[in-house]
Formats: sequence, C-alpha cells, structure tokens
Amino acid sequence: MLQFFANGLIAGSVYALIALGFALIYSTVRFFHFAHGAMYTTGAYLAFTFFILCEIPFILSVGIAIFLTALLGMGIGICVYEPMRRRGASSFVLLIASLGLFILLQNLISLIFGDDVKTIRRGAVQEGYHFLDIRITNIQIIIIIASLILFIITTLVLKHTKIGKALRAVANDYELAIAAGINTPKVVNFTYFMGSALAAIAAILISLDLHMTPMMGFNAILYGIIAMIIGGLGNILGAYFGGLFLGLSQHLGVVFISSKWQDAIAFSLLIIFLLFRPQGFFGKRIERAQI
Amino acid sequence: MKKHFFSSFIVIVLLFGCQQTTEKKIKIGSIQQLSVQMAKYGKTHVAAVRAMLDLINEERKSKSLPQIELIVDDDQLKPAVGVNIIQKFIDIDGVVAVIGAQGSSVTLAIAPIAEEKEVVLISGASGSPQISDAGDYIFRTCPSDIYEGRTMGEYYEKRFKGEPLAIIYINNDYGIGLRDAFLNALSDRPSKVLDLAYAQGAVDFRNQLTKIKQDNIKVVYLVGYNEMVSIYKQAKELGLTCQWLGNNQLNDQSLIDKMGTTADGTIFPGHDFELDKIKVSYPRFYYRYLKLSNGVELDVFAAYGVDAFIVINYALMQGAQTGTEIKDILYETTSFEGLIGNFSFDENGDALRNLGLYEIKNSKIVKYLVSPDK
Repeated sequence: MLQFFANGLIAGSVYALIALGFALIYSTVRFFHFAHGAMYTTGAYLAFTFFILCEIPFILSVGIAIFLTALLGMGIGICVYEPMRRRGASSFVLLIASLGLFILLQNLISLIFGDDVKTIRRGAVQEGYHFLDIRITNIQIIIIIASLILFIITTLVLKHTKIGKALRAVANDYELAIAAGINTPKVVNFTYFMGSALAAIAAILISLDLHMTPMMGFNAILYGIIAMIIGGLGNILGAYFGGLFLGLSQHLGVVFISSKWQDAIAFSLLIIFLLFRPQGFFGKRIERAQI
Repeated sequence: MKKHFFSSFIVIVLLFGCQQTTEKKIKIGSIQQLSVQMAKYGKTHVAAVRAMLDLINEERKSKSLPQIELIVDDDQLKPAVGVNIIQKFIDIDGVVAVIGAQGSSVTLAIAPIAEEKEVVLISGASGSPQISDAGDYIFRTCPSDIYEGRTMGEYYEKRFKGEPLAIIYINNDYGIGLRDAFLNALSDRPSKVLDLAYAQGAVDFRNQLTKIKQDNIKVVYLVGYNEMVSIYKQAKELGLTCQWLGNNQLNDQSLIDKMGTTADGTIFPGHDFELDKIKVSYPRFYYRYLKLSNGVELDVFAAYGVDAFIVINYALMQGAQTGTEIKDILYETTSFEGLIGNFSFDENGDALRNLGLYEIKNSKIVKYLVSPDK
C-alpha cells in the first residue's frame, strides 16, 4: 500500500505543477489555454535538444529550455490571443484557437523529432532507494521536492511581490484591475511566461523519470484541467492540491480495481466534482462559468 | 506539302499515343502508419518496399512488362482513415492489390472493403487472430498472434507450469489477442494469474509493477510496443526481479538498445529474421533500402512488407490481372522465396512461418531455442 501511495505522490506532484501553471494562466485570461499542453511537450523536447543532441551541460540545457518555453508561451499570448481578444473574440473562440495551436505544435514536434520514445536521462538504470517498504529513485525524490519548492515560490510571488499582487487583482476582477491602473497586459504576459515555465519544468522532470513522446502533452493538459477543477476553478494555489489529490486517488484507486481503469478514475472524479462540488475544494461557489 | 505535314503530324500523334499506352503502370496501394506511435515501422516498411520495387521494376523493364507504381498513404493507426484510403485506392486509383495495414484494428476495418471489391489485401504486421477469418482476399505474411501467443504459452507450460503468472498488456486488439492466445495454450491455468492491462499512450506502469511485486509473481508475460522501454526501466527501479516473457516487438535491436540491460533475460518469439543474412543475400536491395531509410536498419516488419510485395509481383508475373487471379495464385503456390526465407499461405491466407525462441543477453538478441514442430 505504501508503494502505491509513493507512486501517487510522484504522479500527483507532476500533475500539481501542470495544474498550477494552467490555473495561473486561466485566472487572468479566463479561457482554457489548451496550448499549455504543447508548452509542456516543447519544454521536454527543447531540453532533449540541448542536452542530448547539442551536448550542452545539463543545468544550462534545462535553464535554456525553460526560458525558451516560457518565451514561447508569452509569445503566443501576445501574437495570437491578444489580437483576437482585441477584435472581440469570445472565450470559446480563444479556446478553439488554443486547441489548434496545441495540435499544430504537437505535430511540428512529431515531424522534427519523430514519434519514437525518447529520454533525456543518461546512464544505467538503477534500483531505487529502499525504505519503509517503498522503492523510490533519486529523480522521483527530486520531483516531489521540486514540485513543493515551486509551489512555495509561486505562493510567495503571488502574496509578496508587486506583480503577484497585481496578478491576484486581475484574477479577482479584470475590469476593476484596469480601473485601478494595473497594467493588465503586462500581468497577462507574466502569467503566460510563468505558467509555461512551470509546464516546462514538469515535463523535464517527468522525462527524466519516464520517457517522452510528442503526444505527451495531451494527457498532461487533461489532468491539469481536472486537477484545477478539483482544486477550485479560480483558485491558483488550490490547483496544486487538486493535482496531488488526483495523483493519489488514481494510484490508490488501482489497489482495488484493474489498472486499465486508471484514467477512468480521473474522469470519474471530474464528473463527481462537477456534479456535487463544482467549486472544487478551495474555490468559491460561482453563478456562471465559461470555458 | 501541307498534306505531307498534316499526315506526318497525325502519324506522330498516333505513335505518341501508343507509346503512352505501353507506359501504363500497374498500381499497388500501401496503407501504413507513418505518424503517431509506431511510425518508425511504417517508414522502414515503405523504404524497404520501395527499394525492392526499384529492383523489380528494372527487371520488369528488361522484359518489357509494365512498371509497378506504389501509392502510399498514412492511416495514422485510425480505422476510419484506413477505410477512406482503401476506398480511394480501389475506386479512384484502380490498384490491383493493397499492402497493409500495420495495426490490426485498421486491417480489420479495411478488410471487408477489399473483400467486397475482390482486391487482395496483404498485411506484413497485423497479427490479430480475427484476420484469419476476414475473407478469402485477405492475407498476411507475418505469423498470426495466435501462433506467437501459443508459442509463449507452451514455453511457459514447459518451464514454469503452475507458477503464479502476471500478464501486462496493451489494451487493444493486439494485446488482448496475444493474452488470449497465451492463456488458451495452457492446459491448466496457474493458481494465480494477474491480468494487468494498460491504456495505449500510458507512460507510468508503477502500479502494475507494484502489484506484481506485492504478489510475489515470478513470471511475467509482457505485450506492448515502445512503452516496454519504460516498463523494464520502472521494474528495475522498483526492484522487481522476475522471468520476463516477451512478444515479437522485441525483435528489433534498436528497441533493445534503448532498454540497456533492463530487459536482459527476456525470452520472446522471434521470426528467424537474420539481418546479416539478408545483407549478404540481397546486397543491391539493402544498399537502396539504407539510402531510402536514411540509414535506419531493416526490421522484421519491413521485411514482411517486402515479402507481401514479392508475392504480389510473383502473381503479376504469372499473368494475373485481377484481384481474383492474384488471390488464386497466392493460394495455389506452394512456396514463395521471401526475405525471411520460404513460406506459403494456408487456407486462411496466413503465412506458414518458422517461429523460434530468442533471448536478450547483455542487450543483444541471441537465439534461445529452435521452435518444436508446428
């Protein structure tokens, strides 16, 4: 049982990061930015390019990959969504555009890198550390710790920095934030940058532990959305806990049912929350929601 | 003068028209997966068939026979897409035969159309047992999964009879077919059989592996594709030690290379596919193949694809012009010489092949046992 708990914590830590980035962006732009899944995949493949193909030192490769992915995310916001928004595009139209971007970027990665399995991990595979009837590798420990550290950093940024407070103001009420003189475009650009960076970090961590394919972003974004809804639509920090809850539920659930229903557990949770607690664990009850 | 010019012009046009007629090509369709999960095998398949096509067309040209044209399309491992492609191939392009598909789900979807239109369909990779009953015009040059699953089931029974067993398999036609064939080959089910399916596209197999470790299972039958790289890796990290029994997807050294030593000790059914022998026996083919594949070595499924093309060409060389004539020749011929040795088709259109057992040792594929009589 403890091993399943550890498995769930590892997976949940990754979902939490994806959800945190997704929720950051959603809180300010109020539409489902599906291309976030493509940022996830891009981060992993950029790290692969620099570290494996170009043989640049690992830390530098990861740093560059995260920065470029964050820039790409921000670039999409500035060059694609903002012009559409200025022309009066609805949230639904922006969602469709983001879906198109997701498919385009995913296929581009597939075209450039091929569809076979890749990894950015080097060296022989080792048995994990053994304690309390759990086996866990050093990468998996890093995933859990890194996820927690990034959650703390995000919390500190949101609560104690000027840009973080501005972001919370925009998330609370976009129009009022404009009226208060907050530079909302700058805030929105920042959320795309930070959210995409978090997605890239999550992807790089998971690629070190498992493997990567061009299709990896699809499941990632689905789980990110479910985690955000479980945590509470509009509650950025709640999304993190939603991710942990999702990972643990999935992995503890298969103790009792067949492993082939693992994905079904995630979507069952989604339906249950939408039916009985649509505001999630930490969200406020809302009158109307748009995707 | 004008009359002479006009007459000459007419003669030239007629001569040109006749020349066009003798340049009519015979078209063969190829439905392969060129994107998504298993695209690597689709690409090597197309490169291999094109390499053989070049050589065969040279031979056909020397005998003043029509050239063969290969039309390729990507089914994306989607049955609906495969159906559209085969309909276009038959109704618009006028192909005389179709090679494909790779995925059993696509082959099963397109088979009824080929059967209805009386066009021969030959797959070089689809192993689902259902294909044996898909129709008279449906063939395959690779062994049925029934035989592969049965081979592993018989091996388990011989060596590990009664021991607790786990089967980890991909939850699609291929995985389920092999699982069923394996279990049906057992005269007595072991006291414990863990059935551990995973969804296509899964990357995290720790739960399945944890269950195996928890239940102290010592024999695991694994059926999957590229994700087996992750399964072996995660098994090692979890400290799981067991006897792995594998599937024929492991008959690919480039896949084994990605696994490092994590898959060492795995026993799996192989196709008597000896790449070095092919390189020596068919140097011109292999040279062209490497150019077309950008240096990717030939794999067994690409070789089966070439065998599919070889038998179609054989039928055409015997004078077959329609799908029915091609079909009849395929059933009647007692031995075809393919890249992977001699074979023929049984009454269901399945290739009768030798299937040996292989082992992974120090990340290399080595022969383990030669299969007993079929």
